[in-house]
Amino acid sequence: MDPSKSQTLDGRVLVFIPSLNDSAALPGLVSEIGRLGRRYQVLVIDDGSLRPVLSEVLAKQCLHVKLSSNFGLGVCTHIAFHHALTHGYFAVVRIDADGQHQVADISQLVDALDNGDLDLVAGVRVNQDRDHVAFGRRIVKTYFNGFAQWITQGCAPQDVNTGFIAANAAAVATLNLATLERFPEPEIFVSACNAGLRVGSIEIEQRDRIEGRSTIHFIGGLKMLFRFNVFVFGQLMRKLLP
Amino acid sequence: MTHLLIIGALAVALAVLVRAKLIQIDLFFPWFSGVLILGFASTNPGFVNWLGPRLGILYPPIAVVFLVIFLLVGILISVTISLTRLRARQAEMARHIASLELGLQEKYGAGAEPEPEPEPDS
Repeated sequence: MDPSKSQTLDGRVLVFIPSLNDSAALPGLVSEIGRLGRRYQVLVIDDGSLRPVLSEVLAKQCLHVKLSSNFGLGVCTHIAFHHALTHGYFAVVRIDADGQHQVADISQLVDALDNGDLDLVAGVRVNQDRDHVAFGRRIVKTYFNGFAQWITQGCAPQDVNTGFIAANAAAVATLNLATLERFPEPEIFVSACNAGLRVGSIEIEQRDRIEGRSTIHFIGGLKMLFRFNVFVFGQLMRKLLP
Repeated sequence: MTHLLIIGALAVALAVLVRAKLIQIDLFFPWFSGVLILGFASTNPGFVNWLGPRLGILYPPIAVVFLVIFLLVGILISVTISLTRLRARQAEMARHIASLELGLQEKYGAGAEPEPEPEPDS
């Protein structure tokens, strides 16, 4: 990475943290990201949490907004994308609020964009198969990854459900035209590939979450599967009937 | 006679709900009217016996039940569509408000309140 970029406001990076009732890891995340340099600006989007996720002190250290009710990751992503485009950010990084992603990996994602070879970079989790993952969830993830790979002819990353993503301004502008809904990650990667964006990945180790549990329960998983199938069907129709 | 009273009460209830602006007439009127007309018509055995064979149903009274279910599903879909649209508009407004709020924070710094405009001299 060009060291001058971390000291100046040129090439600013918006690090967007969506949070739904996750507050325990946020102080650590905000201060760790702050230590990466002035290039990085934190944006916390509270997606309708039942209690405040940011203390008053922490709220002064980052951009933040609280939504009136739970709208899902798609709306949060659009808010971050729109803000980045309006205020001339070089890139947007999304990181989870539950402490599963390591802040140190942000630089790796941004470095991949800085080189100019990629528009969108995914942090692919290499330890998710080693850890205990429910059988049903593993099958669903395999299904998602397989279909995404097939429909994008191998362009999509190996882990299309990752929440650790970096996109440069060109990718943000393209993806902001789509209508992202809840659990938008697979749609983001497939849309990016189909739009001709250059998509790549880096390998990351995912940690255990500090608090809370996954928002994807049985019914949520079924909804996600249904939504993905409708999306894939739409993409197939677009290919068959241009 | 009782069934006519029930259907009449439903019709009055519908009129009261529309008048109280609790039911949007543009959205639900055709469906509710359909249910009520069908209700009145199904009290006539001639209508029921005429309808059954036309829908390929051997036991004619069932035809009315099927039609009522069809109309109720129509109401359900109308409600779902209108709720989905409302939710989309709500999300659009939330995005717009968030954008304004973040714009202010970007301009004045996170946590800083913008200075109030001076009050005009009286």
